[in-house]
Amino acid sequence: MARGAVTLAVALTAAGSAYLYTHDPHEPGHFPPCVLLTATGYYCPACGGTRAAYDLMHGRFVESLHENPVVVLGLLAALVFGVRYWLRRRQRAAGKAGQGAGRMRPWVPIALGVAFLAFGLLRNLPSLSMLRPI
Amino acid sequence: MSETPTNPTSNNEGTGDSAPPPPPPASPYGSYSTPPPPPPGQSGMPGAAPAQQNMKATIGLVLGGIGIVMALCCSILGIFLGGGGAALGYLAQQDIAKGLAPQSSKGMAKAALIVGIVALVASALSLIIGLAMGLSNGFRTSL
Repeated sequence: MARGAVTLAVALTAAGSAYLYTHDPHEPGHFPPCVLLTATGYYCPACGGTRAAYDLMHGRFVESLHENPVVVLGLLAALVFGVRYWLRRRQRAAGKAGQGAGRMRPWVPIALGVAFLAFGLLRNLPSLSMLRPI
Repeated sequence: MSETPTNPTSNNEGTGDSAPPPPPPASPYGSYSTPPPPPPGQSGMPGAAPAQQNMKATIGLVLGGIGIVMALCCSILGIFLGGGGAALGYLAQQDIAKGLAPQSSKGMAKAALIVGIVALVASALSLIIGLAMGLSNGFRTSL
């Protein structure tokens, strides 16, 4: 059950990444529109994230930071946390326990989530318009 | 932890015989047989494993909560976040049922499951609405 869900998630992510790599979101027609931006004109915390991921895939790091810095940093952080989690699993499986050391504290994901939502509020302020996507 | 009333000053007057006798205040002589329990968590083996399982429920709830917000704009991202949050909540419930995680995280695991499913459904609806509006006619309004 759990293994099947992980396999499904990995397969969906791979398929989505392949589609994104080959379809430029800067051009219209490849991706569904943002309901929030179309309806209200407000930017959500992830606005520009698709374009940022596309730019990142094609090696345009600075452009991706301009589109959405938080999504770029979040992808890098997810990579770091994922590798760390995998390494710790391997260590535990090998018996080299290290039980308490390096364990993530519960406030870390909560703080990251709150910071993400706060970014969405900040980028809608007129004085912080440089946080908006290009 | 919760059943050690150490309030010898106030509680014993009005309640009559229903008040439990206060425990002896840890006489320094002759009570070597009962060492004090170690502080919970922080150190030692027993606190370590449940904390990991609790993280599943916590992360699941955070993902689901963000997924509900994302349902309004990035519905595809919301589907991933909602699905991930619901899956983590489900896994946390399994761990609790197996006794791998503390019962105290039961509520949070259930909340993560429900919030994740809500985010998943809301994102799916939003995606359908977005597709009904037609694929984006300008990059400023795409995801």
